[in-house]
Parts: sequence; C-alpha cells; structure tokens
Amino acid sequence: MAPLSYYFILSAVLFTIGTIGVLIRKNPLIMFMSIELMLNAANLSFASFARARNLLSGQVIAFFVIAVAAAEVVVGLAIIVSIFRSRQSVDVDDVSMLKG
Amino acid sequence: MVDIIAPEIDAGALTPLFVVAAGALIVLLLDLFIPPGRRSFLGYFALGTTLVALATCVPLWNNGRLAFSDMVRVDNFAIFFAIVTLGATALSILLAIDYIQLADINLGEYHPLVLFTAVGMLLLVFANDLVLFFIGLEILSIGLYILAGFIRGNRRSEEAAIKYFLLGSFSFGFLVYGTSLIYGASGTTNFTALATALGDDQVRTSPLMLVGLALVLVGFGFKLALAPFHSWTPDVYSGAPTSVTAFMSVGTKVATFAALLRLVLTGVPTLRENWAPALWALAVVTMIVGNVAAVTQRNIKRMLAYSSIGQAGYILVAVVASDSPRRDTSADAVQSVLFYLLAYTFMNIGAFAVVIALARVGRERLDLTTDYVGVARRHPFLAGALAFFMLSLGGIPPTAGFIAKLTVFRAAVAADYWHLALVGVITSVIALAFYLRVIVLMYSRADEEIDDLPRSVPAPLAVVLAVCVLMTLQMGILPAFSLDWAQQALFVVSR
Repeated sequence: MAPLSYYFILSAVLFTIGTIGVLIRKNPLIMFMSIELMLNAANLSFASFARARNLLSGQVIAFFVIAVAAAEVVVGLAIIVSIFRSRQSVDVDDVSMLKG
Repeated sequence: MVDIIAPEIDAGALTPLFVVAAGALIVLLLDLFIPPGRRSFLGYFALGTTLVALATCVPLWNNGRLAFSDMVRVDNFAIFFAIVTLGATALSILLAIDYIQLADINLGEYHPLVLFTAVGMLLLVFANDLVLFFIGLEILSIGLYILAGFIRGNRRSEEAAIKYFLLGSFSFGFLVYGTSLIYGASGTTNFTALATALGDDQVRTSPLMLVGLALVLVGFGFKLALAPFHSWTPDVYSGAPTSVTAFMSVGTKVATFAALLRLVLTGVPTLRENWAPALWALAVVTMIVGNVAAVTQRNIKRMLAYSSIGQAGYILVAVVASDSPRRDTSADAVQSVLFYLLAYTFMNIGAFAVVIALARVGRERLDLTTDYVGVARRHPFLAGALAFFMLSLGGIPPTAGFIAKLTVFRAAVAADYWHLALVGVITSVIALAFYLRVIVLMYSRADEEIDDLPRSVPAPLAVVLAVCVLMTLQMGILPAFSLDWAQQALFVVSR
C-alpha cells in the first residue's frame, strides 16, 4: 500500500487543479466540474486523515460532503440549463449584463 | 462485538428549526390546493410559521444546553441570533407578498424556499461543529441560488443566479477543504473539542491547522462579502428580485457572523495571534472598498450592495476587537457585534422596503439620478422613511446606526485597535456622501412631474416600514433595552 502521505499530496494537487480551473476557465460547466474536483479533494483528505488517525468520523463527513455536492449539482445544472435556454450560450463572458 | 449505543436525541433543543422546516413543507403542499389567485395566503401562512418559530425560541432562553452529541449548542447567544434571523425572515416574507405579484413571480415555491433558507440560517446559528456549519451554509446558499434566479427568463436574474452559484460553490470548496485540514491537524471538527485539542502546542503550531483556518476564513469572506472576496455582491444584489436581495443581505450576514464569532471565540480562541491580524486586514480593506465604491453607483440596489459591504466591515471591526485578552473588553466587543447586526437588520430591510414600495408593475425605480428626483413631493412618508434609513446607515443620531457605530468604535478603542476605529470614522464620513445624496435627490425639485409612481403602499409593506422605522428609532433613542438584551446573550461566549 502506498504511504498515506501520497494521499494528502494527491488531495492537495487535486484541490489546486480545481482552484486554478475555476479561475481560468470560462465555461460554467467546466468551472462547475473544477468545483467538484475541489470538493472531492476534500473528501479524499477527510478519508485519509481518518485513516491516519484511526478515526471513523472523517469517512462519515465525506458522505455528508457528497450529499451536499449532489444537491448543489441539481441546482447548478438547472441554472445553467435555464441560462442556455434564454441565450443559446453559456460562456461566462456572454453573461455580463451586470457590470461589476 | 461492540455494542452500539444510540445517541441521545434532544429534539426540543432545535424546535424553532423543526417548526420552520415543517412549515416550509406544508406551504409546498398547500400550493397544490390553492388557486393561483389566492396565493398570497401562502405568504401569510409562511409568516405565521416564522412567528410560531419565534415563540418556540422563548422557552429556550436561559435554558442553554448542548444537544445532538455536542453538534448543536443552544445558548442565549444562539437564541439571540435565531430570533434576529427569524425576525428578518418574517419581515422579508411580508415584503415579498405584494412584490412577487408585481414582478410576476408569484409561484408557490417562493415562500417554501425562503423558509428552507431560514432553516439553513438557524442551523448555522446553532452549529457547534464545522460539519454542521457547512451543511447549514449550503442549505442556506442552495435556497438563495434558486431565489436569486427566480425571475425566469429575466437575463439579469439568471445572471445573478449563475454568478452567485459559481462563486458560492467555489467558496464552499475552500471551506470544506479547510475543514478537512483542521480535522487532519486536530482530529476533530467540533468547536469545543477543537479548543481542547489546541491546548497542545504541537497542534497549535501545526501548518495544517493554520492553512486550514486560513481557507475556512476565505470561505467566510466570500459568504460575508468581505473585500477582496466581494466581487459577486453588487451583481447578485442588483440582479436578484428585490425582496430576495433584502432577505439575503440581512439574513446571510446575521447568521454567518454568528457562526464566525462562534468559531473564533469558542473554537480557535488560542489562535488569536493568527486570525486577528487576518480579520484586521479584511476589515480595513472591506470598509474602504465598500464605502468608496458605493459613491459612484447610480443604481440604488448596487449602492445598497456596496453599502452592505461597508457595514460588514464595521461589524468585522468589532469581531477583531473581541480577541482582546481582557474579558470585559472582549465581551463588550461581542455585545457591539450583536447590537450592530440587530440595527443593521431593521435599517437595511427598511431601505429595501422603500425601494419595493416605489416599484410598479413591470418597472422598478432603481436609477438614483432619474427615478428618485422629486419623490418626496408625491410620497412624503416613503421619502421620509428612506431618508431616515439612509441617516441610520450613515450613522447619524438619533438612529440605531449611530449607536451601533458608536459601540463598535468604542469597543475597538478599548481593545487597543484605535487605528481600526480611525479607518472606520474616516470611511463613515465618505459614506455620508452617498447616503446623503439619496436624500438630496429625493427632496430636490423634479424637472417634470413624475406620474408613474404607485398611488398607495400595500398594507404588508406598510407594516414592514412601520416596524423598521420604529425599531431603528427606538434603538437610537433608548438603546439600553437592546444593549441589555445583547448583554444577556453573551454569557457562554465570553472566555
């Protein structure tokens, strides 16, 4: 079995990729996927810390995060679909009536 | 074979939350049986639900306890915030009853979503664990994502929804990852257990803990719209339906500040050399950015959005001051946060109530330079009320806003943060520029007579305005009552 530290490093790398993805990509779907990557990085980190400390709670917390992320997907995709219906495009640069 | 011991469930501790959740489900069902023409009944039912929930808060006062395996902490502090959030919810529902007909969004889902959002806020307020905290925050946010985009087919509203959604879930990612690092460093997510674990020097100085805390604070920064994490705020506030803007600008701030105080004072008080400077910097930037950017705004909803950023900066000053090692100074600072949030609730909802009262079918009066000129001639009471709320937000006596700013700055000076108080005073002066501008415009003479103003103010809106004006005035003239109440809500918080 790979040493536990590999898992922490992997989760940090995933989180970084996710963060950069949200910051540089323009398509809401890809941005949303990057956000999911950040959440799954957190899940991996919860599970491996639970393993490292011989606790169960971290794995349970990961389930909570999964459930919350699922609820977020439902709402997020609905919003993206409704935007696509009214504009035929979902690029965030097109969604810029409100200047800020 | 290990015996599994079922945890004791003290459901009574969360009665307000259960009442609101049940009310939301009932409203959702009732919608099926009520003809579209009589939907405003749903609003009154939702209002009744929040009032019942408020009543269930009363027996919990001075009856504090930990419940649900220490995940939930019910104490006067939590009950204070539960009452304020429920009050804000009740006022927002009253605001919405006529507005959603006007904006043609009188769908059965509106009020249940508001109530579900209130459930999330209550969960935040009662949370004694980072996990429960982020679940509450998500319940709150998911409801608001939908409400922000509630005007379907309206591009502004859709844009508000997608911006709020993307940045909201982005910040949620930071929060969850930060929580996982804190869990890794200390082996717990419970605020009480965290404080115990931090007694160990190795945990306290572990980089995991510090990075985790920093990421969690970034998550808070997004949700509280603190600069430099505020970029979504003006767009979302101006695109969302006005009744929703009023609700989220107040409810989210009140509940999230409650959770922030809980985290820094019961969870990580021993890390104050780390969080206090971070929040100090955020407070300075937030006060400056919010108040300076508001000066140039033409749209009143955008102006109120920046104004709410600035107000969050002042509240944050008091949160920073609560790090004082002297017990009574710290308690004074927390008390001023409570008082400020109470005042902010009434003056901000009141200001949005006037914006809603001036709206007509298909047209809201949002442009400051054209829509507000000469309003005072046609609607002296509405103009007077808006002027009063602007004075209060600007911190002019005899209003709640003045006392609130005074207590915050006094707490900051007492805790040796006089430079924060100085920045606060300077930015308050800048803020007067845009608050007073609204008043000047309303009372100046219009070039041509405006004739598309609504003739009368609907009764629910009049009630909201009356409550907000009276409370803002009462807290400004006789602040002792509210200050005493905030004082009684402190006892568990202070170290």
